[in-house]
Amino acid sequence: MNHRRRRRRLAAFKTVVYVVLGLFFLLPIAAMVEFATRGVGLTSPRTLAAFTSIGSDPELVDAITASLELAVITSVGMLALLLPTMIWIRLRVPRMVRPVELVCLTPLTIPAIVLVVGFAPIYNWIEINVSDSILMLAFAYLILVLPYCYRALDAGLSAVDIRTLSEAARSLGASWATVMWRIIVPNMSSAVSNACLLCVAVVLGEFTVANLLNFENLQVAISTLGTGNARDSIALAVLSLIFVFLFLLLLSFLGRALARRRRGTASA
Amino acid sequence: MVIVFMPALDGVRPQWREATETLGGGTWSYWRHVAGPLLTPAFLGAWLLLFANAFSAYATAAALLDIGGVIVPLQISRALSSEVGLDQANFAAALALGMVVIVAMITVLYARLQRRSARWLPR
Repeated sequence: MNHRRRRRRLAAFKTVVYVVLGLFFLLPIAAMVEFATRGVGLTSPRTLAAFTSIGSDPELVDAITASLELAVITSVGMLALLLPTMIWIRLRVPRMVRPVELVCLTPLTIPAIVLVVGFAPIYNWIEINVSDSILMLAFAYLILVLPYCYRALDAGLSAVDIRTLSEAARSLGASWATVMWRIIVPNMSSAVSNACLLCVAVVLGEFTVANLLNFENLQVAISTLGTGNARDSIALAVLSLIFVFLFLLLLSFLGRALARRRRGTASA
Repeated sequence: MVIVFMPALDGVRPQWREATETLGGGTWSYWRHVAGPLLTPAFLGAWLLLFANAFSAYATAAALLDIGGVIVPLQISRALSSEVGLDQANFAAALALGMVVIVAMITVLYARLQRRSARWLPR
């Protein structure tokens, strides 16, 4: 078969695959948007009443704020926990790298439902002795996001020669804190933003743990709302999809802008 | 599936296709003797991951089905949150342990397949 015919066949094949996959992903979302903007009655005009009514339901607003707060707390906590640890063990205790990696990647192999079976008695204790606020879920979510964030930060750390940088900085008199915060972290800013994005995405989409521990976060609210009021629940689901998508775009642009700025100043 | 399988696909070098052609093989020979055997471990590994993911899926089933414990995660959730107060937490723990064993076996198999398919990835 000559090359021109093969290339045309390939181009046609690629178009077909794109169209089919595009439909597969976009058709349900389009259907959701269509359903959420329907008016009451067969001939009513399209309306955004479902979206605006979300703001007037205090329980929904509580669930949304709780999920957002949990996302922030989990990302900050994960960064505070993982970043110093990973940099420290790579620089000073190299034989701990493999065990820590094993520990961090274990939650990937254990299903969430199994984790909840273990969390249940712990959260019983927490609810009685510490607090029964939904923000206590941050502990569980920290464990859930460990593998994803570890991989993202690990990719960023391997791209930077931290041994040379840290030795140079130490020889010029920097403390370990300066080495970490002012030298290594700015070099892996895109990895840090990736890890935060993964955190936010996981926390906003988390249903299993919150549902089985009887907390009301965003996904649980969507699910309970769906049993009574399908239109509002679909509207909330569309909103959360759009939010995560926009957040992803924002973070990726931020990462690219930071990298471009650093490359610009480095070559200047 | 895409994220797990892509590195293996990227590792298939065009030189192999050209080599097959110069030795007289066509598309079918290429897939049957070269690309197929190389991609099969990665493909099986990705399939194992999907299996583990589907095996432990809870959210979709809970949202779609109102009653019944038709799959193991739903049984676990029913045992954990029983309103009758039957305290079946130990039953849930036993089911969870069974799930851990199955997923652990899958993980070991996946690691072995990854090691085999990584032989052909560009170093």
